[in-house]
Amino acid sequence: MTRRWPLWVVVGVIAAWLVAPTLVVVPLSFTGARSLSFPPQEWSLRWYENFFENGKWLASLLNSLQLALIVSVAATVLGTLAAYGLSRHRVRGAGATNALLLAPMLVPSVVFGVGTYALFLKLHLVGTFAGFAAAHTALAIPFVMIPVSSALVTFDSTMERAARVCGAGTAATFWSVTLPAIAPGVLAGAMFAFVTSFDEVVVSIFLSSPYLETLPVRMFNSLEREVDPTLAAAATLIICFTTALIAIGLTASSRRSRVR
Amino acid sequence: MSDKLALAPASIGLQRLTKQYGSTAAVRDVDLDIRAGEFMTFLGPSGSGKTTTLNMIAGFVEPTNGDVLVDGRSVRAVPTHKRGMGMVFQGYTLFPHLSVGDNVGFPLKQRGIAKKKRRQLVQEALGTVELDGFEDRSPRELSGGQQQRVSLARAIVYRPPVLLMDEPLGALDKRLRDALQEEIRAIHRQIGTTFIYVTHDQEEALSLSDRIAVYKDGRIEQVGTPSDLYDRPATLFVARFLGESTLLRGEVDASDLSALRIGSRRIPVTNPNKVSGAAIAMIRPERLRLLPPGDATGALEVRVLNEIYLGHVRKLAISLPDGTTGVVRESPGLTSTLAPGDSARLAWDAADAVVLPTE
Repeated sequence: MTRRWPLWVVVGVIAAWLVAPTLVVVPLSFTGARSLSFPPQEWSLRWYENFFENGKWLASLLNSLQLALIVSVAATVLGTLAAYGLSRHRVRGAGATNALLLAPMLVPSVVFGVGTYALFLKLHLVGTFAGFAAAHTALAIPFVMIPVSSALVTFDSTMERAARVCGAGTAATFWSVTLPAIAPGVLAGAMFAFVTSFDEVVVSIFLSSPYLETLPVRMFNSLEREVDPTLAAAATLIICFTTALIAIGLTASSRRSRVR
Repeated sequence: MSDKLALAPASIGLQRLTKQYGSTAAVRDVDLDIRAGEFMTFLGPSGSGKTTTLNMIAGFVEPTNGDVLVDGRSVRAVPTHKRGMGMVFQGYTLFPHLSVGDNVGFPLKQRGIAKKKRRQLVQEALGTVELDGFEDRSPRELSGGQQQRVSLARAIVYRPPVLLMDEPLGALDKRLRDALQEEIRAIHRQIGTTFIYVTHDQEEALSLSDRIAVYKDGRIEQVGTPSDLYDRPATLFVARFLGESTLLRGEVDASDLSALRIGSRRIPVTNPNKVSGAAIAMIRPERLRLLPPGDATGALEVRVLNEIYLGHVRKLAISLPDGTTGVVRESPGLTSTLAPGDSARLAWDAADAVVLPTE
């Protein structure tokens, strides 16, 4: 048996370094004080109460959830079709199209935000739900295309030939053979798309109005104007929610791969 | 039988079929008529164009030139899923998320056949491949041989007029290959569909086919029955591809086509292709006989190099007068006592020495 403890120490330090800043928020949310001072002196659930009773906070949460849901559906459909089309048809310009679709992931958010803002002002989409959905979908498409493309690479395309020879047309082949085979990649993409939208701050700040803000925007504004621990309560709720989502996704996909 | 299911086997015609990839031709000017109900095999080394031809028949690959005819009608404009052919691939290609029954029923579902009828046809097809009662299993639970049987059942369940098979036994071990070969032959007899079978294994081709098309560099080198090709190959390539042989190099005079001159010796041969000039006489190992050294009926003096004992027969490698080697297979019950190092006289019937042009 070789000595493993130095390894464990290193791993522990790195893990703490990664997670600690996030976890500091949790005790902060249970403070009884009116400020974000750490560590808290007294404990209370008042900020959670405030979160759910204050109309602005709750409205922003509902906005974010609705938006993330719509974006994950739209981005999953469009991203899957794009990845499929680009992998199956070696058309001219496929490489350029691929790069273009992945660009929102690489372009700095601020730049994307400014550009979207300028364009949406002209289209009267700033401060609208449709504007948010369109911008977030563009941001989320790369996060769908990447897992779907890698699922398509490992998928044996002779399966599609087999389906076609059996009498299935292009659409029937996709639905009945390709989609079930790449489903884990599609689900992972949908999850990433959801989180991308739910998390997004920078572009959302540009697009929000006093009447329409998402939860991250609300938190950012709260930090600027109110600085009260409701922010920490909101953050804690987000941590729980996204952790649960990713845990479900990971167990689902690992169960799937074990069956294989 | 539902009228949505085809019944009669179809004939296939290939007309100057060509597939060009960039500047290289995978298939060049292939002309071939496959009769309805025939078992036709495309045999050749990898990259010789046999699979590309099959893919053009299936509609996966669009020909650069030429045409594919089914019962005399061009199918160039018909997409794969409307050609109604059946196909078995080397890699089984069963749909992993469907049960065995649903895999076999898949083509029936695409044809809109009612569930009850579907179940009955699936049962029949699984019975044909001796997998009765496997409907509810998952393909993952099956062995390679069983999976390939399921994909065979899926290909025949809708009685396709043509069944295409792309090296279907390539991924299986020898024992399973032999068993499935037997089954494929039985299924061909039973359903009478036109079979087009691609393989690089000459034994498989010889034992299964009505006729074989030997491919080389994108062209068909020769088409014929297994015995045509084995006993009367037209080229050295075909002779070599279809089994072992002993080659005698010499000259054929245009005035005397039925003899090969090796130096001063005149060896009687058969010359169906009327080859003259520099030529090679090819003799199959089982057509050669080894006689005692002094025996005057033997045509050539040879020396035994080594022996390979195969149980029922013995194979001997021999050294010919010109220094090349040949191979003799002794018939069962006629094994000689010759051992490596011994001299002998080599004899054969003139009809078994086939003259081929040099390459």
